[in-house]
Amino acid sequence: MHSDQALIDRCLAGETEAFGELVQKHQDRLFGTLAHLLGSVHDAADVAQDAFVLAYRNLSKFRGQSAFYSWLFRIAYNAAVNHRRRTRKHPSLDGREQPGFEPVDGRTATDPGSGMQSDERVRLVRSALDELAEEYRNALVLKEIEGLAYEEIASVMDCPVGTVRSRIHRARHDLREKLSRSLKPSDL
Amino acid sequence: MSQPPFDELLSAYLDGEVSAEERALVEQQLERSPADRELLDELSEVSESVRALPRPAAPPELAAAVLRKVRTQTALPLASSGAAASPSAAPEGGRRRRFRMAGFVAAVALVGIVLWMREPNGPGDGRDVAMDFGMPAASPPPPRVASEASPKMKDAADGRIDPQQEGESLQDLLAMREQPLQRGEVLRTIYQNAGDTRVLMYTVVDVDRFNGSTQTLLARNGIEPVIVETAAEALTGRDRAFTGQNSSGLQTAVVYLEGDEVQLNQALDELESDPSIVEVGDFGTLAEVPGDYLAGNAAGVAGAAVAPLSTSVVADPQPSDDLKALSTEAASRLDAYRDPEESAEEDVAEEPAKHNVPAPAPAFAGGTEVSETQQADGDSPGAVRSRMQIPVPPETQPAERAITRASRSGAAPANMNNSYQVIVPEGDAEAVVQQLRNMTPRQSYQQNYRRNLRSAAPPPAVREPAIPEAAPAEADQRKSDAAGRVRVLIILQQPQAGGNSSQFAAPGQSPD
Repeated sequence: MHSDQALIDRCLAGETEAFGELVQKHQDRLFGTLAHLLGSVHDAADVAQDAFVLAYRNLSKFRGQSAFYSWLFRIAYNAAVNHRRRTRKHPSLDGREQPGFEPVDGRTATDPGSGMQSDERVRLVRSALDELAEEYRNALVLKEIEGLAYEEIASVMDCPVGTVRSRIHRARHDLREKLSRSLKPSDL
Repeated sequence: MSQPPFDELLSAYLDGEVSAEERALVEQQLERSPADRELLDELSEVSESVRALPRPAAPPELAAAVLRKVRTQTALPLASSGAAASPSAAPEGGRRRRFRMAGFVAAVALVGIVLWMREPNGPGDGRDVAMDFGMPAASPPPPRVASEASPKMKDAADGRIDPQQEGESLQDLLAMREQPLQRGEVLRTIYQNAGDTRVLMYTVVDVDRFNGSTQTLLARNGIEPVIVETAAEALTGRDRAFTGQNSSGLQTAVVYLEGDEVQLNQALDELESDPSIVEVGDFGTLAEVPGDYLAGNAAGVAGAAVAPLSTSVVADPQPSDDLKALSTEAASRLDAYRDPEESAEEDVAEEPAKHNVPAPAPAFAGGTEVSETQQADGDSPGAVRSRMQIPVPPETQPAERAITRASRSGAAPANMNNSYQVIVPEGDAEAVVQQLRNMTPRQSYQQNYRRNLRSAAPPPAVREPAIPEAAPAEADQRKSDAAGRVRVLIILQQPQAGGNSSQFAAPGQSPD
């Protein structure tokens, strides 16, 4: 596996296929997080594609001062926020899950704790997560799904670390309340 | 500094994101409180629930789709090609040329700038956000050398094309930055749009209230603000200490808008009818904005540029007493501009319908911090409320009107002390306006400015039209440009806590 920088150098030298390798290298991680940020794998696919294209187009601006994935993720996060804003979702009237979250091809890249959560619980957690205020959800997803530190989240969300701390706390607090309402005591 | 709620501390503790002192505090509390131990367990379970969610894999076609798209739509600007499309590669000559003008700083309390950017080709930016899996193979990739770049890319490099049409919004450009935006740094995006950018400067009394009104008004006009954020925070990123060093001494808020030009025109017209606007400065295009204003007071432009990046909406989280006092001073100064009788009976905040001005929004649209702030503070737009508690100073009876004006002489003022006041004798309002126009030829003062001087002339029976008759050329220009979509950045500024209150010196007092 080539290093990101080597692949970038090849891209800048005109070897477009090298970018394909970069995409394949990072697509699952990026896509997995985007899907949770956006609540839809279809939206995640659109945004991921946009982000990669945008990254390719601006590859010469990448100075290597941060990891390529971090740079890419900032672009993708920004695209996701804008996408969500453009296509602001309205809660379904009957409370059913919005369509489109199931993996488009049924694959799961990483499935931590698979089998530990029932399908029903997964659905409830996902639904509760999607109902959170956008800033709270984003902060929590960046923490729990993307695994970023508060400092990194602050950088991505362009806000102070204290705000990140507050948002994550509020996200957990709200999520706990939503789940306690929808889960049976034995599920908690 | 107030201690964060213990719950919040507990959540941060769970993530290992607490200081040693906080850790000790939390552990001490956990030792003696079974309820807190239980809460920690619950938070931990919530956290685990999210972490355990399945991560869907990317569609297998993604890489191919991306490659197809970059081959058909993108010419990669090579690093050696002069980085024509790079924000950091703005030609210095051009930048200096635009910076040659004298400085400008607002003198009252709050300042707004509207950067009005037209998209040359109207609605639809040609950006295809849909996956194009399965599309037929595209034509061969375009040559990737600068000299053979597509006409569209050349246009972008020359500043004739909106970056968004190339799939790069302002947000995108900012997201690509690896370093926080530095003070004084102006993104090339701004310059790329300079030719089509309209810059208006609003001086308003209460930035929070005005911003709230703006949100309400925009919502009523079907225009969705993309972002509102304090520019100081945007400018500094996580380094909030910089806030105190803002050379203008102003705190700012930013609104980023995108919408139909006609629609935005109407909204802005209505916005400008808000009586809390002390004056409206029209800079024409961005290229005409006094360069030193950008250089010396870059918080505004840089903040506007960076604002769209963030999703946060932040008012002043905890307005200090100093800031409140300054706002109160500013409010009383506004009263001094206005007819005393009118001041006594009018309160925009409490009687919005009377003025055809939207009531202050309870919080910025989409914001969460603001609502928390308001809960904590009880009354965020304190200046507006306190305004009514201040009697109009007797010395501001119609005999004279004090007009705090922005200084434009010399280099960019280092702080608000450079502002000065103009005392307008009764009956000479129009002459003073003309004088000010001569002093600041790139600014035209529109109806709000004159309205604040209207005691020198018979008050109009009804509210003046949004586009004043004195500025027909601008009105025409606005309307003749009415095609396509525009993007608007609004910056509102207000004094930082601890700012120099001499900027609100009593009417008649000598300027600094």
